[in-house]
Amino acid sequence: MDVQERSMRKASTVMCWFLVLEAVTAQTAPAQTGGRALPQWLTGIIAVSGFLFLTFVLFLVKKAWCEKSGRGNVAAEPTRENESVMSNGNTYEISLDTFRSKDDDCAFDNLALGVAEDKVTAM
Amino acid sequence: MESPADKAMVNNPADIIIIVGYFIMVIGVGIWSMFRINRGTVGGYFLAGRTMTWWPVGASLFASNIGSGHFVGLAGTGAASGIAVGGFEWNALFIVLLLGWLFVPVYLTAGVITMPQYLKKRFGGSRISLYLSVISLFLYIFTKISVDMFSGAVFIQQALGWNIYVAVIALLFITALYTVTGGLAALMYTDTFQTFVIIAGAFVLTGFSFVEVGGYESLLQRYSSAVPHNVSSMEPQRYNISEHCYRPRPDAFNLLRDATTGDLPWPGVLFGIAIVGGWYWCTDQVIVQRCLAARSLTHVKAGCIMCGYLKLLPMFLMVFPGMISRVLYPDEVGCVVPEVCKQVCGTEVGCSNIAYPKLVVSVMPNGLRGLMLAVMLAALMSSLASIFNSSSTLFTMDIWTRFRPLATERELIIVGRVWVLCIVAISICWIPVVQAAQSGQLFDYIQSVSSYLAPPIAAVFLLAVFVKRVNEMGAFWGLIGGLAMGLCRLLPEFWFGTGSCIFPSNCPFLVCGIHYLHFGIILFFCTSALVLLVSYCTDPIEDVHLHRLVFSLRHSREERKDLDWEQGEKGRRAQREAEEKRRQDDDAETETEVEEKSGICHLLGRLCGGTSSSQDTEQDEPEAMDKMPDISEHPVWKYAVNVNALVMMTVAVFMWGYYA
Repeated sequence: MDVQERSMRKASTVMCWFLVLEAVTAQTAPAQTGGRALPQWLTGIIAVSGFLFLTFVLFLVKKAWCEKSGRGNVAAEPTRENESVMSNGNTYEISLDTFRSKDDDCAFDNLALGVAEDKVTAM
Repeated sequence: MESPADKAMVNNPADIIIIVGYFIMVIGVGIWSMFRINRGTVGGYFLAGRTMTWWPVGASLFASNIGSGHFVGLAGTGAASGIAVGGFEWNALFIVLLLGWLFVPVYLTAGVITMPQYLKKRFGGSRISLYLSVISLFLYIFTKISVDMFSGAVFIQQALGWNIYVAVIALLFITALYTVTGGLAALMYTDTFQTFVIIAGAFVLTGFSFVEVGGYESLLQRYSSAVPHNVSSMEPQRYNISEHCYRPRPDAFNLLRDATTGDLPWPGVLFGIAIVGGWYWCTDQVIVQRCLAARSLTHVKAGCIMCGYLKLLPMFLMVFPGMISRVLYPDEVGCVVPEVCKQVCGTEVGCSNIAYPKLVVSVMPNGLRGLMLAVMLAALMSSLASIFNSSSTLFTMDIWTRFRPLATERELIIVGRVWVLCIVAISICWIPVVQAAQSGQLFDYIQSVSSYLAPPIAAVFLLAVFVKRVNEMGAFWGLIGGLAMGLCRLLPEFWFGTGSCIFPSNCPFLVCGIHYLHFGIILFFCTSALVLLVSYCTDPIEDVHLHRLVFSLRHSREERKDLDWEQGEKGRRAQREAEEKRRQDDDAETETEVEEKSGICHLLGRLCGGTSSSQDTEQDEPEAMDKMPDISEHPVWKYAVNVNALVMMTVAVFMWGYYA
């Protein structure tokens, strides 16, 4: 989540910068080269800003998809890490997937509940 | 084929030393890699043991793609019609990312070596995979091998004045030598070396050419006035030469041209090339095999990004020099009168194909000419070697195992090598056919044949990976329908001939009127529609057969019941029985065998990669089958690689925008 927030902020600052640049360059007089209406570097910049805008929109869509309770199988790609922790001689699996809920990709189960473990001391 | 009157022979010491040095380096790298990787197993020979890092993957992708056909074809078409042909290269920047992000994860988890094998697992049955193997081999011979060999021959003939057959046969044998012995590992390491040679040499030539023409601005100005002196017809009663046949196009410096009157219309350039590119990069054995040899998915993605950046270069290293060549030598490269052209390069259609060789021969000083020849040889040999290796993989794993399911690994490896030699012989026999064909528009020829035959394959693969509902019936009938449509256009067009500006072809408008790129787009959508229609009318394939074979199920860890399991199981059982029997026979013979093995036998065996003990190969086989290729990625590297891909796409979009 943190990583995504950071990249979103980065993308939005880049976008703002490009919009400013576009506003500034739109005021300069366009030069005529080989029958083109705009100078070549300007068409390049316009194409890039259009592309980045599209990427930004797709990114937002992807984020919104994950937050909905639908089957966003493109959104949440579970990372398979075989991490385990040793504690008091017992090995515990701490991979996130063991807790992932079957109903929803973005929800997690509490595995401690529902475990019928009655420790009874023999009388 | 005639060579020009003032051909410069590469016969001075500097050139010869460089060429000999280059060959020694290549064979050295091939031999070094021979000892690095165990080639005695199928995995080691065909997939380099799955140990390649990102830089051999990226370099090999680039070097396998760039062949001598690119040097001659891109420069020639650039000279004739401007920079739009570079769109073929720059489109690949995006397609190669599709390969790394969407297709290779599925191929890796499926655990396949060849593309027909993937289709067999995905759909079941064997007719689809057989069809794909046959048509792939067919396309290799007619669009890749013949074109690369022909281009190499044109170049060598212009530069050295050798007889075409002598030159090509020598090249083929050297290529076959290091392909046959080394397998994919040797190829990928030599490809890395050859990528350096190709890029360095091409940079040097580009530098010299720009100096000759007077800079980039000067090229922009002088190109539009690069007309030959001889423009009047020699036989006015037979033909007349109109001005647009010899005057450079006004839209020569635009990538995106008019949709109806342009020679490469912009919808075709944007979407048609993407479809053919989708076939070439995402479904073709040559390219995918290099990605499957990588160490992990992150290495694949990084290799794809590196290949993408390298694909920015051909526009500047081949297309612009081609245009410079026309500016500097308009009477030879830009010749228009048929009789003059025949004198210059041996064909009446046009001489734009000699654009690059002419530059090398005229502009480069001594010593550097030898370097450029080494560059051409590098491009030619790397592409040919890749095609030989991949076609031997296809033939061995898909066609040979169909007829001999009991074959041992050792036999498969030997068959793979023998097939390479067979293909060398077929290629040599194909030279006169290419010579006789209309060699005026080389790049057009490759791209049009690809546009008529490849879109159905691209459509089927795309749907196979992303749409679970597609089943065997749909895929098969889609392929057959697509092939029929493609042949309806391909056969008449080759029957009537492509013609030239002065003698246009009399192919009817209904058949040949639509541009080949637009036809490719139409063919793609028609095939997709047909596949989906037939699939929805027949039974679906259950999920239990599809785990790790489609994009949506690529991470699933559940047990998969392979559709080709029964077929494969019968084969495996028979193989196990044959092994048992063979081991019993071996035990009886071991005492007599040990004394008979002489020194020479042992050396030959080592060279051909057969290990003396069969136990090594046996141990490798079950391991390769049990270990499911892991497509998990370390999150930091995954993020890094995604950001890099975004940066590369941004650069690509800027270049497209700049030259649009």
